Amino acid sequence: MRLQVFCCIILKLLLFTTCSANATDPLVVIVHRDNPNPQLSQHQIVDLYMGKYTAFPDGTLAKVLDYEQGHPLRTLFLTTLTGRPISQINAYWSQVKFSGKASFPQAYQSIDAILEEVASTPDAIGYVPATAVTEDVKVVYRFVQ
Amino acid sequence: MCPQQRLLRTSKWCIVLFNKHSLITRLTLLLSLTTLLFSVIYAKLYYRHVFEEELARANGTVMQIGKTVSSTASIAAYLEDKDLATEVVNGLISNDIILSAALVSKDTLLAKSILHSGPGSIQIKLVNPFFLSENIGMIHIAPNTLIIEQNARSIALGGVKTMLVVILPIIILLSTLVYWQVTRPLNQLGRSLAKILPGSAQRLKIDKHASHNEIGRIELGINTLLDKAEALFEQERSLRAEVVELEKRFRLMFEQSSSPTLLVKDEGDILLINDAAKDLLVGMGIDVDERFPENLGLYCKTPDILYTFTENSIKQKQVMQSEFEFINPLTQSTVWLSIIVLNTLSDGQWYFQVFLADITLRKTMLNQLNKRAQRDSLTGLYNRYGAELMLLDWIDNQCTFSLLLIDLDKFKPINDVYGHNAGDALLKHIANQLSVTMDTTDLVCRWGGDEFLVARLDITQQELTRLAQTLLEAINQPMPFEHREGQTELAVGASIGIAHFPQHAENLKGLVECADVAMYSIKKTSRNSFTFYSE
Repeated sequence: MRLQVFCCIILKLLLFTTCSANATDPLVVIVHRDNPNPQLSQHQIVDLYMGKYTAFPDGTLAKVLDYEQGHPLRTLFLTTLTGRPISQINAYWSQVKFSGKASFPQAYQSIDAILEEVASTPDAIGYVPATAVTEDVKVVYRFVQ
Repeated sequence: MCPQQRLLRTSKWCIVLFNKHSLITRLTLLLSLTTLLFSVIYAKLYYRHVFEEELARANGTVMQIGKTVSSTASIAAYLEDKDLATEVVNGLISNDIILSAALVSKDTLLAKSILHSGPGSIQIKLVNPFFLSENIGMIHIAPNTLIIEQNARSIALGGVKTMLVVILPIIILLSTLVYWQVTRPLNQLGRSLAKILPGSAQRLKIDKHASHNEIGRIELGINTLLDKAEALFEQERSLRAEVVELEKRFRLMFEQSSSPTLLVKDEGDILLINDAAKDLLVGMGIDVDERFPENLGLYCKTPDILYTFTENSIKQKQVMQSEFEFINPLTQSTVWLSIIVLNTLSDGQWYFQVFLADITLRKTMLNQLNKRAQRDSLTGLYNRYGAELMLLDWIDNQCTFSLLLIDLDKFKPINDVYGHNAGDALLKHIANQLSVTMDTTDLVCRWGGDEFLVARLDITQQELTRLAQTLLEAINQPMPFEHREGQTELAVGASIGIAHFPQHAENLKGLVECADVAMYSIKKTSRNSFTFYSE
């Protein structure tokens, strides 16, 4: 708990200038408003973000959006999603980097860029703090607080 | 030591070592074989143990290696990344204790080595890198048992080698020690024992150092035995000397004995014969090298009786004595031998001792005496005693005979006139006349004084009458006689009484009485005639 509180404080300080949303808000996974998939499971989200699958459960290709490496939201998202430390996830990526089997998510710099890309692209998937969700996107997964 | 001696010694050693019956060879062989057997069993057991141990160790190592690669393998299985999986498998089989390996995701084979066939003996489960409870695949690994076996074998062999390196020198040492401590002393003991003559004063030399060990005790025992043997031999020797002395005396007694003696085996071979017997038999012309009693029987007057006599003696095992008459072929004279046969059993064999005695002289004397007693000294005819013996013999044998009692008529006057010499001469003349008339089988006897008696067996009445007539004529023949006054002729008549046996009497006395009665009836009446007895 103490670690989480500490992380939230850091996140707030970092996001204060670029984002109007409250950094302590829980993250949500969003897709385009017209995306037919109503909900996604944690497992499906892990498989998409770890490069195992490149398509939604209904078969349509997915364009996975992520923040750049070192972004606080990415660290928070991935550790919360997989339950593993970030160093392990980085090691995972460095191992699969050269095999070419797994596909890397596309990296974006900010929450707004993600929101804009998801709102404009029908097969895109990304994550933002719950407070930043707009009408142009659909929440398919919520992290339980 | 010269080279030849050394060679001899070496060859002796070789003989001792390579004689397959010697104790040392057997011991060494037995020890070697036992060691070999033991080594083989040990190698087998140790190999099995080492192999299992090595296998377990290899499995452990394989598991460790498997664990090392399991995170990468999990990623490969998660992503179903064949390249990454192949990398993992290649990494695994680069270990020489791993023969083959394969990486399998949930339902597809991602990578396998060339030698992989079927599921390996070791499996490592792979979990989802992000959801640890989710199994997403498996690593199959087959350990290289060939290498493990090789390792185990070389370890086991090494163990056996180490063991043999320790044991073989011990065997050699033991064999050498046994040779020096047991075999060599035993051989020496055997050699010195062979040189010892039982009963002599020779003894084994006992080594001071060895006197308390087993061989020393054996030597002591042998010396004790030799002591006893010597004592026994000494005893035996003195006994034998006594026996020889005794035998000499007996031999002397036998050989110098004046009594002719033979020792005969029951088959008839003459074993011993003393000088007296040899002299007697050789003097009788009997071959002493021939079998008894056939050699005697050749010149015996009654050989059948002699053979029966000896046979009975053998059968009845009794002392038997008898007398036999022999003819000496050299002098044609009669020899009488008394033979005593005595049976003796010695060591299951029957022998008989034969004692001979030359009784010819005694026999002749007895015969002469006997003859004298039965004969009339004047006429040489049987006397009354002799006649009675013969007649009683006839009566005993139930012979039929006739008896003629002859009484001379007018004999007394001749005696009175011409003297006793004339009477004696006349009696001799009559006796001669009677003897000439009668046959040799007949009895002719001077019954007493001027009475004569003749008898003939199995004679008919007619023949008897003729005989009586002839006798009267013979008696009546006059006898020329010279006396002081000149030459004269003497003649007598005779009264003859005849009786028959068994018609007239059953015994001799009765028969003579009958003849007497008949004779007196003639004497009273006619004289110089004969008559038969009538009731």
